[in-house]
Amino acid sequence: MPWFLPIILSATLPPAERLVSAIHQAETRADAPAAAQAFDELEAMGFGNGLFYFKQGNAHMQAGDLARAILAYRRAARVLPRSKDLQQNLAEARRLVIDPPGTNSRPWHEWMPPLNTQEQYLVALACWLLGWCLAILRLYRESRLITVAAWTFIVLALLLAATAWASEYDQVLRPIGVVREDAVPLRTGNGNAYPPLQDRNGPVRVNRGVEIRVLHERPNGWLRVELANGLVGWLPRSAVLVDDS
Amino acid sequence: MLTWGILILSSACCQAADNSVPSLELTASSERPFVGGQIQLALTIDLPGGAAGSAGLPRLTIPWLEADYDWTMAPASWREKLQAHFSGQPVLINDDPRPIFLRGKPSPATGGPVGTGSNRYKLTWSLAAPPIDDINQGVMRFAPVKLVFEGRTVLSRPLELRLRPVPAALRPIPRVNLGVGSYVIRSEVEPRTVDLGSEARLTLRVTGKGALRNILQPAPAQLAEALPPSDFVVSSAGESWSGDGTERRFHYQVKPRRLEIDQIPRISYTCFDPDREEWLQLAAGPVRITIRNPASAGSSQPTAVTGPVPERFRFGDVSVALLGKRDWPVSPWLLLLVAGVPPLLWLAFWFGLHRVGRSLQSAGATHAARRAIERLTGPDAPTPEGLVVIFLAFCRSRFRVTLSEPTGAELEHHLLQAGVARAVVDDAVRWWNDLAAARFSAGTTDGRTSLVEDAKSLIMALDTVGR
Repeated sequence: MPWFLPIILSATLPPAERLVSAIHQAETRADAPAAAQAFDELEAMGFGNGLFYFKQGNAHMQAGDLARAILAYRRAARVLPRSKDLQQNLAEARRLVIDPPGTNSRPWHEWMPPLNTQEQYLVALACWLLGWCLAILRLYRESRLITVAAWTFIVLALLLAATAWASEYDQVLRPIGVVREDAVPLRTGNGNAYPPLQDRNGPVRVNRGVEIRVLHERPNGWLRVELANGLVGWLPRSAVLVDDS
Repeated sequence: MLTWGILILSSACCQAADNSVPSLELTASSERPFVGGQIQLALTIDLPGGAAGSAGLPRLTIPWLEADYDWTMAPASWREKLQAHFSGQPVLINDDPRPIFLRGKPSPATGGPVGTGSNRYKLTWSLAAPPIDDINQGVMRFAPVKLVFEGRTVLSRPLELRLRPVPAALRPIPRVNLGVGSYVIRSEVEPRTVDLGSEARLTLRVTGKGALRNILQPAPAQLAEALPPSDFVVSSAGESWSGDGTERRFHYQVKPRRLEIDQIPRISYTCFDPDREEWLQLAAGPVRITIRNPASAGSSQPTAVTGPVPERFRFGDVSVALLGKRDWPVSPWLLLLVAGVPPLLWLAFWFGLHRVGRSLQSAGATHAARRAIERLTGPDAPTPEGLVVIFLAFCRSRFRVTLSEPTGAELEHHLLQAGVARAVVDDAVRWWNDLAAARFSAGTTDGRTSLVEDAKSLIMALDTVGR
């Protein structure tokens, strides 16, 4: 086969197919940066399921882009909460972060079973249907057991649905972000003129890969963020990758 | 945190200011140590000349040793005492109820013979300055040491050290941070020639001035800048010390992933020099290595083997169909619609079908009447007792009235309550009394047929109630 044939063939493919083909070739050549770029272009085209984010994270991880890798893994984890490979890769990526801030406590919704929001909605729906079926049965049969069971399922369904909704809303209200540079000072205000926050060890600086919650964004390009240890301060928008998916 | 070491140095023939009075002095290498830095705590003891061996035993009380702080023994035994006290013993600072533990390995101790004349002894501890916290408030206070000798008591002056945080703002970027101290790292790799996918042993040898014991072994992730995961699989393989305790060695298993690799790259690190009060950025290595391809050993043919990247890090096993698949094919609106159906159904049952259910209940009662009449018109005319059973069963089905051998008055009461017309109730009571008379008049069957016929009419009349 002539050397130019693959190039011509790939040029005739639709854009998405061409990018996927580029990803295949990049893996063969161990060219992770090229694959990462292809994944980013696919994302710009609207791709974005759990598997996509997982593989995108892998490509960025191999390419050495820790912040993008962690962000992609976090996105994937929202859809694939029980994927062991994903959890391992995310843990490995987190181990590369220098001096990550400790966590005060787990968010309340992380104590829920490892279901993604869609699965939570489905379980809620199942409980809801079951509860109402029991309520209909209760119209024709006097039974305390049926009454209690019907109420239990209906309340459980409402709780599950509320939890799923709240975790989705939390992501909209306080999207996650990942710091993309090293030693970024966490400032007390939205500008370089504000001094860095101080803790016992001096000024607080966050490093590449540190995960944050974005509380507020100012039009001047500064983000009010919360670290996992509860510290709240300001970071420049340019130093943070925000999950706005 | 206090870490390692004790050192006793005993030297003789030093001139004391006053030969007849013992003296004590507690000093530190720095009165403003940096957090995490090493502090040399020295206790200098001068005993009156010639006394150490002859004039009773000196009693030394070191209150910041939490346990066994009272030593009454010959100075020659202090060294052994210190050695015994070294590992795992808590030390009180600021009378802090939270003990700080000495841990680690003692330095080699030296001790000289006790001489004549004035004797000066110096006991030295190597400590690491603890972090500033709410309890110590940045101050380390060591209570005065007490010496009782020949009836004289002397106290050292209390020692107070003010901790200084390390200026983190000026810290360089390298991920390997050795903390406070002036350290040097040398890297070594063994063997220098490895097969692709095989392991070599990387050793980082740390020497220098500082709390060596206090250094945390850099995690493999911290080496990732120099040894990226795309090129090397790095795992920790423990640590060791040199025999003289002056060198700490961190070991790693390093597995190269690509044939093109020809060196273990420079590993940058940083440490804070407390004397110069500045961060140093240094580097160890690089170390040249050779990677062989085990598949083509002996062949000079270049290969495109990329090394064993873990399967879970693959990214090329994808297709447009896989990547484009929706995680959740069901529309949320459809779910909402499905969720809305059961409450509507319940309402429908409650309003409509529940009422139908009530008329079905009536139909059930009519069925009860038919059944009663069938039983009354059987081939054998029922006995009065049989009539009672049939009638009461009908009443139970039709009016939900459970009666057991009622009197005429009770029957009247219940039927009226069930909404039966007065005239029908009167007929029923009359019939019930006739039935009772028939039941309790022995041997006569005359009125049985008429009772049965009356029962049929009565049941038909009662069955019209509410319909």
